[in-house]
Amino acid sequence: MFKPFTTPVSSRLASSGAVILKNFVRGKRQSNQSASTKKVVNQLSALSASRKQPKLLNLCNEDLIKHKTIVNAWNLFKRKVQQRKHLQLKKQYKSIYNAMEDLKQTSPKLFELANAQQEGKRFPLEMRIPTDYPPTQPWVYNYSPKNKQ
Amino acid sequence: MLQAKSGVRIATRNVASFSKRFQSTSSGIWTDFSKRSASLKLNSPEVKQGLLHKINPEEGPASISDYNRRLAYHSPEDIDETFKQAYELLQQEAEVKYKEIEGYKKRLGEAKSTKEVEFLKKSIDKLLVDAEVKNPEVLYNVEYTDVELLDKSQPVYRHLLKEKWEAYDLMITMQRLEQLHMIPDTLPTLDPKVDVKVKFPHNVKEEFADWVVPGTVLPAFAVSQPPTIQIQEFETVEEKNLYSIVLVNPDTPDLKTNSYSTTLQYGLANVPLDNVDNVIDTSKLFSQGEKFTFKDYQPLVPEKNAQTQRACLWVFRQSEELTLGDIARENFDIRDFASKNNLTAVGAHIWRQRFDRSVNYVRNKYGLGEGRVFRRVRGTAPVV
Repeated sequence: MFKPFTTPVSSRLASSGAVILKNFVRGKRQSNQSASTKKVVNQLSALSASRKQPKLLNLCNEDLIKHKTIVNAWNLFKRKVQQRKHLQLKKQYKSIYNAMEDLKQTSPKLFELANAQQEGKRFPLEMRIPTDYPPTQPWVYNYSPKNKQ
Repeated sequence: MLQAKSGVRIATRNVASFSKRFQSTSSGIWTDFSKRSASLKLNSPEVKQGLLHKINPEEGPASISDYNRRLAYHSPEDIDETFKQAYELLQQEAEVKYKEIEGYKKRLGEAKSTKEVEFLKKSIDKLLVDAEVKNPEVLYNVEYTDVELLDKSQPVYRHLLKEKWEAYDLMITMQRLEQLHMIPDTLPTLDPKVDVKVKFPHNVKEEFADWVVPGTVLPAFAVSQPPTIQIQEFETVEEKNLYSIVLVNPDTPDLKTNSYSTTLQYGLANVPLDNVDNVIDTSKLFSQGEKFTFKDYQPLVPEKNAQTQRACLWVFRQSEELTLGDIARENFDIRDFASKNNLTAVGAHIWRQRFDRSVNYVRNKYGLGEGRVFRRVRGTAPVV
């Protein structure tokens, strides 16, 4: 029986007594954890939260500086990769721009066509947005388009 | 005796063979000290071995002094191999920076206008910082060795020390200056440029002999001799800058006006300092003190029942040499003094004093006579 969400809680509980009865379990609770898991859970519940934290790494001065140096190098490496990517994109944009300028000079008609607004043309929702990595499920074998008539 | 000797020999042989095994073959810019200053080197050979190559598992890291803890220490997995790669990468980057510096230096030799020379010198300093700021030896020196032993003529050390100063000491100083209302009671504000440290080296007790934390309440005996003042510049100072230092007490009781007046306790002017020679200590005062001092040091001696008094030390950077006439100690106007002599405040320090049992001793020493004892007086207005 469907009831709207706006009804007060007490009236909802009264009217859906069947639901409460369904969740109610008389007698000893049966959990689906194994005995060994239960033991570990009990042991952990007796410990304070600070004891459950992973142990702090006590590094000596040499290793702390080594760690810092490794982080520095990794940051440098990442920055270089980023710069390379940025440069590549800049070059690509420049190339597109030059090609379009060339087209404008040689054939203004084609340039107009290439720049025409494409009304109603949208990116198909079913198509995957281009990403850096392949999807987890690369190919859908039983695929059928939605509105095929 | 014999046993001990042979034992020692075995130990040294082990270390030698170990270091031979783990010596890296690379020789980059960071291991070449023909062009770079030797102060960028890590001095302890044991620590250097552990840092740049590998910590000897039989000896443990040299930075840990406790023998048992040293033996129980384990480095994280693969840290040495990863560090080696990281070091190579960063060193290559530093080499590029040093090549750039050489180009700038060539341009500096040909430069004519002063503007260009200034620009080139600044660029070279910046590149020198960039080339060394990730050098593990430099990082280790700044982090774990005595700061006072660092070579402050190196731009990289000054850069790292400035970062350290801004992260803690500067914040403490500014907090105390504002909370104790030294700003704006003496001067309107401060744009801090230098690290000012003060200590009273005549003290034997360690409690008072160390650098004074800004805002500390000190007893009169602890300040009875002129302080040692360290003024650390972080920018490059080529020829010595001139500094003036003024110590004022804005809390001298003024009974006539039922208020307070400012007293000049100590005045120094035309003190030449640079990045390395940055301390005004007893020996300097002995040899050249008469040239600098325009007002002799007189410690604060708060009288009984007077409130806690602030000793406000202001450091000014001079644009030219000053010629100061006779300046009265009482009713000193520090704002007028600064504006008349065209001085810009670059640093400050503060400590406090109140009446204690050593005040009378210090008063006698400076010939100040017996101090007054203050008491509350009922006002003329009727009590409602």
